[in-house]
Amino acid sequence: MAEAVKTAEKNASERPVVVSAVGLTKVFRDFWNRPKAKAVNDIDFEVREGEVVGLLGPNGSGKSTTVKMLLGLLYPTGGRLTVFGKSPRDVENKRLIGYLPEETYLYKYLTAFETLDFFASLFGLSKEERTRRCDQLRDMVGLAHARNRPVGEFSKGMARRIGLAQAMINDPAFLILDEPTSGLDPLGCREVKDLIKLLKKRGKTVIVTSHLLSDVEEVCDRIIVLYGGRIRANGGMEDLLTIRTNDTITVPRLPEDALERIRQIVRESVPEGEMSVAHPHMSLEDFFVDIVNEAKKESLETSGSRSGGTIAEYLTGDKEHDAKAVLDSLTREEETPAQTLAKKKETDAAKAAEEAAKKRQDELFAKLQAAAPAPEEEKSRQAQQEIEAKMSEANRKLKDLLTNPTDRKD
Amino acid sequence: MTAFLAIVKLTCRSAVRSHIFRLLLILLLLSIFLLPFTLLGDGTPKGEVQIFLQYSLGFVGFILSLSSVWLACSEVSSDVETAQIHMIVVKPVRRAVILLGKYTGVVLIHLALLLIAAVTVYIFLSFRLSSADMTEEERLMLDEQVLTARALYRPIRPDFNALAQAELDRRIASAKEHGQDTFLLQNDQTRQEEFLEIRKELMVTYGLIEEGDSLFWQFEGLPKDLTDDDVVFLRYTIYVNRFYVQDQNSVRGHWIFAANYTRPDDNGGETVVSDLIAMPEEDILTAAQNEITVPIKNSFFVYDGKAQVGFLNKDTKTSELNFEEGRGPFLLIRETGFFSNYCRAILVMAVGILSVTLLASAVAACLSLPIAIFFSAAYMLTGGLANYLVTSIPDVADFQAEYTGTFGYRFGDLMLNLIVPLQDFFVTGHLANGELISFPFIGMLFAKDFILRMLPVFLLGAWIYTRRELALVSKRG
Repeated sequence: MAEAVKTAEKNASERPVVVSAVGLTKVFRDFWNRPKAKAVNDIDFEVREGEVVGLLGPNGSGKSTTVKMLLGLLYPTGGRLTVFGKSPRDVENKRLIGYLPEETYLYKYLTAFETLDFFASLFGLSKEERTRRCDQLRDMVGLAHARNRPVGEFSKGMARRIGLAQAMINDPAFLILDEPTSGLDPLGCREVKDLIKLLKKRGKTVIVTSHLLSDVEEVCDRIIVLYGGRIRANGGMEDLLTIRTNDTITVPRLPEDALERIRQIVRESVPEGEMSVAHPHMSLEDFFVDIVNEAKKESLETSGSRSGGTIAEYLTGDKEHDAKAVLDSLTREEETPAQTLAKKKETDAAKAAEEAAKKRQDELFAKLQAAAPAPEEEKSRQAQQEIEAKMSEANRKLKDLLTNPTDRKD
Repeated sequence: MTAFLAIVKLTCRSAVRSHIFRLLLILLLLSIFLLPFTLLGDGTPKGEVQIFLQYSLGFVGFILSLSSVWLACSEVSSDVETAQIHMIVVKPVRRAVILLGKYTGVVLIHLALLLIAAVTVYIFLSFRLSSADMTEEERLMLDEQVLTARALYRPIRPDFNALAQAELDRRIASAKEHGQDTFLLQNDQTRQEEFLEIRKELMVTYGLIEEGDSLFWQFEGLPKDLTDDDVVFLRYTIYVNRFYVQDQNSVRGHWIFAANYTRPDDNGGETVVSDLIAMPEEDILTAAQNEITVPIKNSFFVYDGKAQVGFLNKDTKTSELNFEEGRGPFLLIRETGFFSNYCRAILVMAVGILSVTLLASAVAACLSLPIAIFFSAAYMLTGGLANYLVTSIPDVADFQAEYTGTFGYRFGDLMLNLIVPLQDFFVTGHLANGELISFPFIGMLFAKDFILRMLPVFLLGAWIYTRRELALVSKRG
């Protein structure tokens, strides 16, 4: 399994570069052109096709500045920055990019449908195609009942969902999500994370910035930690977060005597004080999602956004759907020969890893959509508990990393 | 194109929702329906219609100009300030297209309003005319002098330089003849001063007619295909004495028209003969615009596109009568109907809206909302001020004035060359006076103001807009 992951990572390094930053610097100047602040200070990084990269850092660390430079909203003071090999200001390049800003700036008087229709028009889509995509996206983000409500009346979470929908209206190859889960309820957060996983499965490149480290951890392959405009850590999630000095063994509930025998064996090599045995417990997020699913089963209505969950047809990879044809035509245009080549080179191991991920994700979807708990639910919950246990440990480590940024330099 | 249309549509919708726009819309409606009732003309139906046309349409033009400046500024710059533009510029749309889309949106909504206002005013006017109680004579006067479109012909301006030079030469010759000291006149500087003095005197006294004296004006370029059925009008304003006095008086005098015809000469050819035909002596109101119909047949009055008109002062109460330059006499000849002229006036107003919006969008593309509005307002005020400076210091154009006067005039002149005076687009005065708004005039306005002055400003604004770091500006980003 570990080998398979390594091979997949090796393959990742052969994939085409989507974002390349070399010596990227941004200095903000005052009215008299005197340097005021160095928001980004000589950073180098690369994002390759199909990667989901988390951009982390405390407030003022340069995340937003970097993202805005990627979008051509700010211009670098120094260094070189390319997106798909071109300047971030290249207009045609923007057909491949989807962007969810930190705050969703919407025209308050437009309805949900009109908002999406407007953004779709900016891509020059036909009227029929716009209507189709808008309706599907609206269902997907759970705003089907709010089609004709002005977005000015929306709650922050609902506006966020519309923001997310507009970011995907062009089925982008590269998504930049600035705090995608901010303002969303746990159910919404889960949907966003599932969506990011789905995008990754479809080979999309995603940059996510977030303060909620658990979100990042769950979906990202790699993280870049910024502090004071510099990169403090940059690497695969597995590399950065594995606590190589501890081991965790997770097994189904054991009889007391079996557990005692294990303790005996462990005591032989580890002092009593360094060992602990406990029952794993589910995360609050899982607990909340279960409660809401239970309520949905009992048909309790809410006036705000509802759990969507149905992925827009044109975004899914299902070949049976008509929308796939449109999508294929879109992606075909966008795909470079290098990209195709890179995809072909994927090894069986990578495929196996992906299948495993797909299986896990399918289980999560099933959990979201199915009202009644499936027989496998107990099994998947255990698997989830395992993940959560690891995650809380990793989160602690990540937080340590952020609070003592100088401890670890790239 | 889809993206451009989407931006145009969004701009229109956003414009309609602006509070200031709604306020201005209410003012617009008031100006159409209530203003005409609050203004009183000179009591005649003609005066009432003139006032109605001048103020209703004038106010419509003014409100729409204000509104287009406000909306263009707010549509372009508030999007940048509220960071809403971030959502648009990250999509595959050129910034120039965004700016052009916003401009088009603001223009379209104002052209639609202008059209509605124009139709309403026209219907309102027709209703008032049909229900007005007036005599046959009043109706005829209204039809001939207001509800028409007459081309205005100005008399040939005498060559004051040549006249002054001739007078100067005469004085030098006369001085020499009398053996006087001509040293002063032979010095270049003093001779130039003398020349300017003579010219000034000539210009001031040009329109003055002493009692018993007469003055003639030449007209050229009149239509050669005039028939005897066409009516030619003479418009004039008489003042008492050389000083500009607004007090109204009654003075006496009569007009003289030259009747031209050909007569066989001794050599078997033809000679043109001019006979002067004097009208009966009459009482004329001073400091008021008068109009009379030329009483002789056009086939005699206009010869080869030329005509001659004179005035004989028969007033014994005053020392001299004065025809101020620029206030007549003029000849007016009907070219087309009132409706056509009305449409042309609306067309000029439309060019004004196109130009003003172009300016405001260009400015707002580079500056924040309050500064953009301030700048646009200052631009338009400067146009008005420059126009005032140039017209109120007319002497500078012809002879030396005080330094401050010269400076003021030159400054105004420079400004008028650089910027577009808003009053260029207010042609309701022409319409109310039944004067033709010619297509060459509209074309000239479009070329001079829109293409030569406003378009470069817009292109500069668009250039800056495409290069701005938009995220630096936003208050929320």
